[in-house]
Amino acid sequence: MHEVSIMMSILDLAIEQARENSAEKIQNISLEVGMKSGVVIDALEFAFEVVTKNSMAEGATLIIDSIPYRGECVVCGHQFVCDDFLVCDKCGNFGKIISGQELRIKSIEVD
Amino acid sequence: MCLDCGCSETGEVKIDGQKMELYHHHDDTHHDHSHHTEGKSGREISIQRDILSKNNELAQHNREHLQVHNIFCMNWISAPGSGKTALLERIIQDYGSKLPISVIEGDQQTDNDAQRIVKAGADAVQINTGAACHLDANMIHHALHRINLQQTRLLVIENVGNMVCPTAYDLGENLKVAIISAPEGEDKPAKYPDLLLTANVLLINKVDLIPYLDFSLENCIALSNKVNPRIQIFPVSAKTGEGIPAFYDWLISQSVYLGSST
Repeated sequence: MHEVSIMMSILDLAIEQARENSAEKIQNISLEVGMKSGVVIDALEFAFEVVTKNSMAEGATLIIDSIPYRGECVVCGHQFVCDDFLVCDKCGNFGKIISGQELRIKSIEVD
Repeated sequence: MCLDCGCSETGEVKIDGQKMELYHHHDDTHHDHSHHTEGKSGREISIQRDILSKNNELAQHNREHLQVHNIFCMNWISAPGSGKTALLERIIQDYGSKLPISVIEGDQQTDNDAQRIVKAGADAVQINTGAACHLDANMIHHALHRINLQQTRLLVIENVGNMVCPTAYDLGENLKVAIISAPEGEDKPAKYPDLLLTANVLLINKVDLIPYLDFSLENCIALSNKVNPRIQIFPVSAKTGEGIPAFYDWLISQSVYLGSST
């Protein structure tokens, strides 16, 4: 349950940016969350409500772009969607990660 | 409590029993929201930053600090009860005279593990995270001030027993080490793939118990390789010492700091 602490980091960054831009209210926060980032999106959404209370982001909307876990075969170059195993679904060789570990704040919308 | 878990406002982080200074709270109640906001409605501000960028910056600071002192650092992550502390005791007993080791112990409560490490013959600092489920770079930064860096070549951070949450936090280590033990089952690497995916090394502990268990070392290693093809795997036993020399020799080969101290 580190999602609360992740959400606090998100709010920190969002508030910092909002203040730098002389905003008074954060209307929404957009994130990119990889399927293999170790973060549970439901828990993140729950944490958002708790953490934003009494802040300039209270009542804001959380927009999450979930990024699939994808690999690229080191032998045949085929790109594939992984479940948990980083194994090529064409030739069975191992792959390298090309997406799915993202944990980024993309943008905020402010008033 | 702020950066950590937040599930308990009354929780606090302690290092060797003393309260640690935490990040500020997000208290915006002092702001005056009464004035007009004309012409500013609905502006989009692009940020494009890693959510954990602040932690990562602090982790990099820790990494540089350790490098200046020629210290090699490992972050050990496992479920509770996999034998992290017992493995450390074994390594300290067998190699502590050749290689000065210090340990940062992370637990929710008690300094039992730090006491065990000191008894085994190494320097130890205990972090009590209270309600939090993981260590972060800020806690390590504070703990480093209590370590005798001149007398340390190898620093091991024993994270809070948890295979999920600590995975996301860079602490400034050179190697992330995952530990599982044979009684946890051969499919543990597949059940908790996120840890394996980010780890450089996997220690499979308690291999001395394999004769009494339905546990195939071969299957466990094959599964681990499917999750992370690049992971280095060492089957070990803290109890018998089996496999520890192979891990130790490999470790020494990973860093000039360690090699020069033997």
